[in-house]
Amino acid sequence: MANLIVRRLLQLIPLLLGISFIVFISLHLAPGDPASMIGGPTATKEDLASIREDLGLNDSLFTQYLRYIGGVLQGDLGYSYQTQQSVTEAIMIRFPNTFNLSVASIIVATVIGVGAGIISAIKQNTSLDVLSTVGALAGISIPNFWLGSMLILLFAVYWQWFPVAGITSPPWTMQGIKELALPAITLGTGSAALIARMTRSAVLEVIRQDYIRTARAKGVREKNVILLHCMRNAMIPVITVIGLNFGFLLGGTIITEQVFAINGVGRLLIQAIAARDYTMVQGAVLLIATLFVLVNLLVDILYALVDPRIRYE
Amino acid sequence: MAMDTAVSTGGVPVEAPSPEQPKRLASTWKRVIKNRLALVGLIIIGMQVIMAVFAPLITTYDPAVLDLSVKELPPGSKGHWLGTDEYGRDMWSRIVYGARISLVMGISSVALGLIGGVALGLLAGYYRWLDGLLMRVVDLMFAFPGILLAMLIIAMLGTSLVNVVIAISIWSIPSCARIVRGSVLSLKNREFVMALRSIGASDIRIMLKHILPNCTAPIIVFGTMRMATAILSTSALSFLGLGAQPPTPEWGAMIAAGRDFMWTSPHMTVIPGIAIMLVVFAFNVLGDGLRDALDPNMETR
Repeated sequence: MANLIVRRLLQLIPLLLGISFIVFISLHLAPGDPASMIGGPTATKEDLASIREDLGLNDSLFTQYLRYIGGVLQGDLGYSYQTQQSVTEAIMIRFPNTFNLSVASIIVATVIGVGAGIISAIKQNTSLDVLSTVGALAGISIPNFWLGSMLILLFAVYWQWFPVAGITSPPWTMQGIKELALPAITLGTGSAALIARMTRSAVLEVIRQDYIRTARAKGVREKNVILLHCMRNAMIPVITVIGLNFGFLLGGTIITEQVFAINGVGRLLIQAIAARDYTMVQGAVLLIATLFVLVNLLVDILYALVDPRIRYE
Repeated sequence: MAMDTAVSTGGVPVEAPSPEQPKRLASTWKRVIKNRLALVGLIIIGMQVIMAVFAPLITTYDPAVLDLSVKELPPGSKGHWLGTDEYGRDMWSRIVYGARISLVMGISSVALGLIGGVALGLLAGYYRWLDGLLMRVVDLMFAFPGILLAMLIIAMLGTSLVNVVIAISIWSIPSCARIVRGSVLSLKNREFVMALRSIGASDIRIMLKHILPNCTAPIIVFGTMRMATAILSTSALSFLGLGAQPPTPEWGAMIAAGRDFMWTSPHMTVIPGIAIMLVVFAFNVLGDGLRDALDPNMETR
């Protein structure tokens, strides 16, 4: 087990370096001169030259990349070209909102997805199953920025059960939960659909196996057969899907934050793209991609813990 | 891992070449039609194609012409059965022309993505020495969750519909490459490939004329599913202001504009959303149906 973890961690190093290089190089190639962005329209040629010298833009590309990586490793993502604000600081202020939103959505997605999947499997080919299957397809197809708008219209404007937008309270307070509810449903719906599909097919596969028949034959109650005997094995692929979806939800927060005007990393990224604030874009993309890779690594390790067969491959 | 192999061919086993291609095509078609959900998908897609092709014939108003005397009319109004938007533009015209944009965006970004993905997948699957390098590049692209890679590309190129096509097609390449590579790996050591090699057929010829035709099933399924993703992403990026700019009648951009009028004229937000959902749903169920139909093991199950 320790062997596997060490091997996976080592594989992570080139991947993270690759991510940082892609992020660095793609925005380096983007049009526009950082010096004139910082200097503004009134800057003279000498000003621009000195800004360029300060930023180290005259060094070779490789030196610039090494300096960037050196900074990143020390937690320094550079300074915004537009506002001169520290990128690390700007991201850290907003990160808790993004994180809370992802966690809340994965909870919503898991509860709805696993629930619907189990019901759909044990009531296979009934109208409940059809309803859940079509519901899952609709969940995958619905544009979540639209779903969010509709939820606001119904539950925040018409019935006024939830606030319209923004997150101002911590998630453990009643107000905080209310603020997170609609965004979490919006973001979690797509993942709920994928989890439901996976749960359904996993349960259907396990439920036909001999040991389930044995359990039923020896008189175990149906509820216990499903929850204790069947779910234990069916959950293995489901856990993987949940883990992978958590990573995707981190990326998905970008759109949901925009819909609900939540001050998170995703919203920061969109504002930075619109303002051509490249250091900010670099920082936000680097953070989201790194977290995504780390979450996937964690899922891999958990998978090996839950299923001993994986370890020997 | 067992899951990897399932993903790599899109769940469709690769078959040896058969002389009965037309017959197989007909039976695949029959199986797709028999699947009721897939049939629904096919009908919706058919309607979208008709709307896109005959847009000027089935609308009476120009989608971009402003008429403030009829602004924010609700659906069911005289002359504007789907109502009008904040500038008095006809919603039906905008939806119809939006169908055209979404179809063109979907087809062009999926086609470009398929070309790139198939080329990478063929090379990686066929040449062992290239495989390691190309698959590391693919892994790297997979490290960006969902729409993030597309956003990074747009941040670099600037906001426009053309750049959205480029972004979405690049984002499609890694998954397509993996699927094709998986098929090629299982095909390249088969007897018919060895036979071709022994009679001196060139690598290019073997790849394009003999291996590629045998990977079409997973590619078709992937392409169909990817249409759904591409259309959804186009509208999402436009909604965020990173794609189509007003007054382009793009569905996602229409939803973004309509949000400011959601309390007074909800139809401006509701209608384009339903349009996106129907089309994305259609490509998803058709993709599902095609996958089942192209899987020869399905009948025995």
